[in-house]
Order: sequence, then C-alpha cells, then structure tokens
Amino acid sequence: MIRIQGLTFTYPEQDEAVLKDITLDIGRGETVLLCGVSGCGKSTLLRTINGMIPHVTDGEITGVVTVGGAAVDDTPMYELSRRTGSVFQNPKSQFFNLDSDSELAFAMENAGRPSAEIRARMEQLTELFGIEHLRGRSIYEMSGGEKQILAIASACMNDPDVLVLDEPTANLDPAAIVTMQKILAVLRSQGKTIVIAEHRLSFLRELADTVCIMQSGRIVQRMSGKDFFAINEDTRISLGLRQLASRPLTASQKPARGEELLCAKNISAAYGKHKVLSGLFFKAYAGDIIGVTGRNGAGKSTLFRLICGLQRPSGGRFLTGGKNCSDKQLRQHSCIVMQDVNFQLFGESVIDECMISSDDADEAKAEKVLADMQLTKWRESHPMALSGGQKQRLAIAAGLMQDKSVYLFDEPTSGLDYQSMIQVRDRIRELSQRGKAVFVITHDMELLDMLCSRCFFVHDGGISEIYADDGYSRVVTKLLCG
Amino acid sequence: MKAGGLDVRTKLILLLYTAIVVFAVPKLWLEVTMFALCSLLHIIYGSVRRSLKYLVIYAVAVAVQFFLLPKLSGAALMTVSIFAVSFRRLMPCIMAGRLLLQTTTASEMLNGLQKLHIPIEVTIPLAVTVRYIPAVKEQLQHIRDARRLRQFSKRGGFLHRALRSVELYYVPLLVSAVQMSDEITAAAVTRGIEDPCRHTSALERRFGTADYLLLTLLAALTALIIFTRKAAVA
Repeated sequence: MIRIQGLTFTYPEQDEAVLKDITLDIGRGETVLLCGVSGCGKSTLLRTINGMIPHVTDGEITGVVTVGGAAVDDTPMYELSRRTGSVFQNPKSQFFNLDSDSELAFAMENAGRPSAEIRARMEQLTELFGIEHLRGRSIYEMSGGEKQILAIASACMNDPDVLVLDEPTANLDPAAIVTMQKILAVLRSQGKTIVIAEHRLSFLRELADTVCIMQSGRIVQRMSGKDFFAINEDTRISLGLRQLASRPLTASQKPARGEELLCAKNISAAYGKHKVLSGLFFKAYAGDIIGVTGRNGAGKSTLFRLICGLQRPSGGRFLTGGKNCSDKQLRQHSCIVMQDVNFQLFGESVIDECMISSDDADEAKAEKVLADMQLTKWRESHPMALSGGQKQRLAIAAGLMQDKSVYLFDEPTSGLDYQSMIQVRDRIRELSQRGKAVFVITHDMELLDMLCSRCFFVHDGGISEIYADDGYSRVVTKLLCG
Repeated sequence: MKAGGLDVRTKLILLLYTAIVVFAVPKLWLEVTMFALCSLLHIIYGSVRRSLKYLVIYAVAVAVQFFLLPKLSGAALMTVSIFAVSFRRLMPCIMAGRLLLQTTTASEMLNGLQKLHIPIEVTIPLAVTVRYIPAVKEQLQHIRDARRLRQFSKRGGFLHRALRSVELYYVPLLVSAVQMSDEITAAAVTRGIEDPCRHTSALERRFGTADYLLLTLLAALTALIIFTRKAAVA
C-alpha cells in the first residue's frame, strides 16, 4: 500500500537530514507503529506519506514515496487527501470548522460530493464510531478526547485507504485513550492501512502488526508487534521509550513533610450560577508533590486558578502560614508552568526574563538561579529561541526569582519521550527538595506513578485523595473508565 | 450547521450595504434604521442579551449627541464626539460583521465566496483568518493570567508602560499565531481544501424567503434614500 524507497529529507536551512535513506514497505491493512525519541523523524516520515512534504513544507527530498501506487510528489495534495486521512497531535488546532457536523462534512464538501451522499456517510460513520453524542456540538465545548475522536471520524469521511496519526493521544486522559483504542481496532478490522507515530505505547499492544523503532532519522529496528511488546524494561529504557504496560510502583517516593504552605478551607468556585467545585478542604506542605487528575472538564484548571489566586473562590478561604490569604497574596506565592509555556515568557533575553519582574532584582541571584536551571549558556538568547524543555526551565527560574513557594504544572509531559519526561520529573523533585509545594495536573500515568507523593482525583465538583501503595495509575484508570 | 437562516451572500451584502450607506449618507434616521435592522437579525438568531447591551450603548451615545454635546466646547467636545458620534456610526457595521462571523461556518463561507466567483487564493487565507479569531480570545486569557502572576515593575511613565504592555502581549501571541496558523492550514490541506472542483455543502443552501425579504428591504431603503434626497434638492 505504502512504499518508501531510499527517502532522505532535509528541512530548509538545516544541515543534517531528518530522514536518512528510509526504505519501508507497508502492506494493505497493516497497522504500523513508529516510535523513538523526540526528533527521531517519525512525524516527518508521516508528513511524507500524507503529502504535507513536499506539497506544503519545503525541503530537500530524494527517494520515492508511493501510496496506492501513486507517487506522492506527483499527485496533487487534494487528491492525496482523499486517499490518506490525517490526524494530528493538537486537538485545539486540527479543526477548520467550529462545529462538529461541519467538520465531519468538510472533507467530502471539498471533494464536491453531493449533499445527500455526505449526509448518508455522516450517519454511517456516526453509527460505526458510536459518536451520536458528538454530533451538532461546538468544538469549544468538547473535551480533548472527544475532539481527537471527531478528528479521526472527519479523516475517514472520504473512506481513505490509509490513515496516518501523529501522536493522537498526547493530550488524552486514560479513558479517552481506551475509546481511541476501540476506534482504531474498528478501522483495522475494516482493512485500513494505519501508520501511527506515538510516545504512549501501551494502548497499541493489541493493534500494532509492525513496529519500527527510529533513531536520528533512520529505522534502526523493524519487528512484529508481538516481539516488540515482549522486550524487557532495560532495552525499552535504553531505546528512550515510554512504558509498554502500566506497572506497579517501583519505589516509594514519600518526601518528608515540611511546614504547611497552603491550606484550603471549604473552598468553592462558580462561573455565574454554575457551580464547578465546592467544599474543598486540603493542605499542601513544603516538599509536597501533588498529582491532580480527573476527566477533562472536571474542574482541574479551575482548581489551579483558585490555588494561584487567578480566580476568587465563591466561598471559603485559603490560609498561608496559618493566616488568611487574599487572592493577591496567593498570586505572589504561586508560579504556574503552563502547558503552552510560550504564553508566559515576556523577556527580551533569558537574563532579562529573570530581572523583568522587579526593579531591585538581584543580578547575582539571577545568575545563581540560571545556573541551577542549567540556562547560563543561553543567558543572552531570546526566550522564544529556546527548546520546549529550556522554556519550561526558564518559567521555573522566573518563579524562583520571586521566591514563590507553590508551583503548579499543567500537563508538563504531554507529548514527551522517556528521557524528557525523566528530566521534567527530576526538575519537579528538585523543587520539592528546595521546600516548595508542587501541584501537577497530568494525564500521564507513568509520570504520576513516578513522581507524586499524593494524588487528587477531581470529580463531581469535589476532590478525593487517592491512596494506593502500588501506584495511582491503576486506581485512576479504573475511576476514569468505570 | 443549522438549516435555515440567511445565505452567506446575503450577510455579505448586508455588511457592505451597511458600511457604505452609513458613511455615504450621514443621516441619523438611516443609521438608526440600519442599527435596528441588525439588532433585529441578532435577536432572531438568538443573541438577545448582547443585542440589548448594544442597544443601551447606542441609545446612550445618541442621547449624548443631543443633550451633552451642545454644552461642550474645545478638547472636551472633540473627545466626546469621537466616542458618541464617530464610534457610534461604526456600530451598525460591527453588528453586521458580527452577524456574518458568528452565524456562518467556515465551509459555508468558502461555499458562498466560491459561488461569487472569488478565487480560492483569496478565500482560503480569509477562512483561515476567520477561523483563528476565536482562538485568539483563549490565548489572550492565558497571557493575562501569566502576567498577573508575574507582577511586573511599574517603572516609567504612562506611555512607556502602555507600550511595554502591548509588547508583552504581542510577542507570545505572535509566536503562537504562527504555530497555530500552520496547524490549521495543515488540517485544512489534508482535508482537501485546495480541491479545484466545485465544493458542495452537506446542507445545500439556496436563496430562501428570508434572503429575498431582506434584499427587498434593502432595495426599498435605497429607493427611500434616493427619494428623500430628490425631495430635499427640490
């Protein structure tokens, strides 16, 4: 179905090729998993199959890619789009329309199909995927998981033979991943050829016929799914891959509890008359690392906005050091590291980012903080020129400069490979060792088990603390799916 | 994708008509008529609250023109009249624009523009832009949150701080805009947006009674304008 021969690709203004002499045959109806560390070239390989390269993205390309017998570079993009459905990583930006029905219809409308046929196909897919609940909805009201399912359905409207998916689960909670797994199984049973690049692997255990492991632009190993999911932990980690199955907690990570930094007393939050959270009681101590998880829309973000004083509670109060604390004081105490860290870097250089907040900022202190965050080398760089991990460290540095005591991380590891995830974990542990309290919103069960000393599960307008000696992920997955 | 409602072409004509008429024929009765017409359409489309809000602002601006402006002079007159008269005159246009943006899906827009024989090189960037607008709102909120947590220095004068403030917003916004528009484009291209064939619509839209009614109304209004002008000249 897909034949790739001697493919080499270099992005413009880069010296090193991202794809080096790739040769790969994918048969009709085969499900292929591409895995490897970030930057190994798996997303780029997908883009050469769906035609984004060379039709939209420029670069130097040699070798041949054919899909269903047609050479990708000789076939216009709109024709390729009927043959190959594409699903991307970011649920927020992969829709062209703002309501689900228009998005479903979009691909067939572009292909000029008659309206009756489009409507019939919409009904057919709705039944096949079981997505009645997604029809006629605004994109903005849908959860990340719902959006990804809609994206797959939209990609299937023209009944393409091939489906390429680029990290489709990066932003999904465990329950949504289970739904995704079911839908991929349906498509596989229909004989679709599926190529999927992923960091999260365990959900593909029963699906992947073939697994290609990529390293710096090459396919270094190609094996059957069965063999791949049987490799041992050491090999897995040496390849830089995420866990192949959820496993029990390896070591206990209960840090010593220090002084009480934050205390919530009967906190509630509402948007207008709509109550989101109510009756919250919790405490955070120095050294605490608290995982926050729950379904999309359960109120995790609202909880964060309350803790850092961006939203005034509709009832109850916060205490710090035993004293009542206004939302302004909360803002002075807390630092958020956002999922999209681009929104929170304002400086003209890395050092400026540290000095910008106060008039009497201490330059020696800034140098120290930058050294701690391993950013000294990029002292004069513009924050936007940094890598994702460096930006995250810079956001933490800005918080440390203001001596903030509560740190909140929003999905810090979405779309990260094993090594990068470990780095994030270590960074957060370091904050905890410095006597900070850390909250981490995450769907990443591997991180949750490795990092958190406690876990809040947000549901039905309240939070429950989860106690589990053998790891949170099992309990959380059960709660989410049950 | 609701059935019924106005055709996208009618909404485009309404927007153009409002913009031209309000500025070419500076008569209060005409401006009020256009404002009332747009408000009525918004109410029919279901956004009652927002229409009422606009109505209050508009009424206040008119009242200011009649009761407050005659008592002012100099700089105060200038400043107040910018808001009460010039900005007020924009309001019917803003409402017609909102009507177009809020009640039209991207594919309807593409469809309608294609029927008007506007080339695809123009319509696709336009549709991507329109699609990006609601995303900006969300992003501004993130930036605002981040700023509030950072407590920036209050050094410098008013102008310096204002400029700094603009800068603080636009850099992050620009960076994410570039990324976002790339991603939206990828989504559109992989769904075949560039297909040169005639695009269809899941719900085939034709000019309906509502469209003819509104266009007739606009034609009648034009006739009325010409008639009153002639009468004035005579």
